[in-house]
Amino acid sequence: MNNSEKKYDVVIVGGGWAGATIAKKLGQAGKKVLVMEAGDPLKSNSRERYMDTFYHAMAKVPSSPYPQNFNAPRPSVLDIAPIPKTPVETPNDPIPDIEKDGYFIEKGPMPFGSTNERIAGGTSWHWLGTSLRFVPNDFKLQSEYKIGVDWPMTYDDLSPYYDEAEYFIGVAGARDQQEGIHGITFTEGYNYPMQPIPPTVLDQAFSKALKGVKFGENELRVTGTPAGRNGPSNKHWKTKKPYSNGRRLCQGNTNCTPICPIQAKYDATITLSEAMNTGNVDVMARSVAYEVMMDESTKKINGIKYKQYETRKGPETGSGIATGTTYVVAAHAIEAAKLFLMSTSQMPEGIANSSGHMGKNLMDHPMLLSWGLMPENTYPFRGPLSTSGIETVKDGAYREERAAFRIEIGNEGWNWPTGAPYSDLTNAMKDDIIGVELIEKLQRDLPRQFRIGFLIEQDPDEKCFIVPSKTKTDNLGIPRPEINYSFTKYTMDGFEKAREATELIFEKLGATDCTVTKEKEIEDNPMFNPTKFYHNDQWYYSFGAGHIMGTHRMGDDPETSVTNADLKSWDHDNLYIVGCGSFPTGATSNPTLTMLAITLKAADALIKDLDS
Amino acid sequence: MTLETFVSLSSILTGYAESTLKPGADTQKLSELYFNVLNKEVAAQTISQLNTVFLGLSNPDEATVKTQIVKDSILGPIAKNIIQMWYSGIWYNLNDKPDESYVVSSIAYKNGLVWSTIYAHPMGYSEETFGYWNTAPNTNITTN
Repeated sequence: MNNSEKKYDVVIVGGGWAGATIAKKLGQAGKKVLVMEAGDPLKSNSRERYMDTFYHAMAKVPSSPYPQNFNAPRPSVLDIAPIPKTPVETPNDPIPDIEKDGYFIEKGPMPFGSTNERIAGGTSWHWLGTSLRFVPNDFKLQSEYKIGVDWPMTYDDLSPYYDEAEYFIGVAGARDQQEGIHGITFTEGYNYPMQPIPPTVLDQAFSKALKGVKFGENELRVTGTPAGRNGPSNKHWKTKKPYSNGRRLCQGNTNCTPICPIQAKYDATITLSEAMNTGNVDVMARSVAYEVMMDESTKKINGIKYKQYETRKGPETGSGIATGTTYVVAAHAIEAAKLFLMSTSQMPEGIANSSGHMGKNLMDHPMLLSWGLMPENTYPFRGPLSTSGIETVKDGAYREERAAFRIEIGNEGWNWPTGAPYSDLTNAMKDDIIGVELIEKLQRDLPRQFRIGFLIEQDPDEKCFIVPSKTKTDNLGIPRPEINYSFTKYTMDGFEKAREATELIFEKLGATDCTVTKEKEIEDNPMFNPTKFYHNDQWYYSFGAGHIMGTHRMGDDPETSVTNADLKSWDHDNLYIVGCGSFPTGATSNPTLTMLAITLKAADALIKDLDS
Repeated sequence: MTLETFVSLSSILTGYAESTLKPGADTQKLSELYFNVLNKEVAAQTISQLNTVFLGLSNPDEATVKTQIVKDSILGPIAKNIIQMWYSGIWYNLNDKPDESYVVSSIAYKNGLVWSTIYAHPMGYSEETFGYWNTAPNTNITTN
């Protein structure tokens, strides 16, 4: 397929969340748009096929429904392995195999724990649905606490875009539960489009046990988590008509990640379809961008080179240059930065990289999991994966010293840390437990299982960055991402406080702590061992939250940031770079809602640009 | 081994009645499915041995099946695999090749007994309605 003859106003790289959102806004504004998607296209039976792959998967990890694509590969948490202590490369080293060793080239010292998808709809296929706003101080970490950098915008600047993003997604939530948490405000008269998702039996036990309990200066208040999954509708705060997105109510499949079987959870395939339905948006799938080109005199971007393929393991079948008036790169934090850093034929340091910050400041919300048994049955594996959390510990003077965190309450027992209920079955088999005795054992243990997850703040750090590999490529010959990753003392001190909070919370719950914390047990567990670290006399390990941020950050200063607050490149005035990579700091709230809010803001600026 | 014997043995191994495993109106046909996997994965001679031992038990209950079959070094792993199929829909490789373990089918996954045993539903397959998670489940479950 060669679209070079058709004239586009905007070329967008990436048919995921940010790309689909901008495409829809532009399409509605009558602009002609080409979306280039590296992975498979959206088909009418995509969900059915992904569900079948999921049912058959032995390890039901976030990527499990989505087949590996060797022409647009994606990472998997199953590939996370310890990093050799002395990673000296020799020319004779075998090239790590994507199928066997995974897609990322991990340079360490710690393996990166998070993954993204490369298919139409992007990583929104496997997001959890959590739609929390950042708190006001999250935007000014430097001026408040002398940590990291400030955002080039305030909470108040973004607040109207949060309103828009919550309706864009379709968020079920309770304004009165969120309002006031660390200074969160809402526009007068605003309400969420849908009523909150009811709490689980476990959430209710947490609320009761933690009532009035404080951790340091902060209250441990349990609140329902605003989520992009369908609840009963509210009246639209402006039109006063009942909100409806035409999709089903959540059925509590306990499967938001890796895939919602009934699309009660919003995902970007909806927006991508709506974008196409405007009649102004073309989507060109299986087209992998590999170089951004510019006009040498004006520095304007004038084309994006791509390669095409027909099957996931097959050869290159075509290539071309996509052209438009304006360009948007929305390829998620790792692929976007990689694309610019690969574009060196005109700029030795890469396109849009005069600051030298492209690919730097890679962040996640490294997670500490704590798990235990409740004194009474709280019945996990029922309801959405998470319905409540503790948001009232996310800010305070302590942020001068150590990382903040939010606490997510999980509804899936020990599924994440131990692989329950499969592990419980396998253990029972080792002990020759069968029949009614087996039933009684499962009923004694599993209904009391629970876990909490601390999403820990990671301050931007020069030691965390991605570059395109010089020697290792995918099936199309495109460099694979090489990742350098570690935690600062600030972040590790956050882990330490998370353990302290675990002790307090479990004591109040009357729960038995079953978290693995001993060195030997951590080493013997292939899931815990790769990320283990020792800090202040304790062993820890972390899990990726899937929140990949920071690699093309926005800012007020062209010397220390890649784009301005409208996500427009400082170097090329017809180029926008959007996504979680735009975050200057990651704070603690799951990033999607904030990413969408800044993307909607960027879309407004882009439309204004095109119209002027 | 006949299908009927397989269901009798499965009942004692799983703790669930034969009528639960193979109901009158058997739309899912799980017993046939698992019996076929067993015959595909295990040598006929070994299945025949399992059959002989099981049918030879004068009082085939949980205790005798445990001592005579589950604790046997050859028949034990097969019996446990039958339990695992019923509970999770997975056939575990018997020769320490975890890469060759597999989910028997999507029907097997959705019917894994472990989920209803713990008053839940398979992750990714709920037939309940919005908000059911707000209250405790019905815990009346009929077993042997």
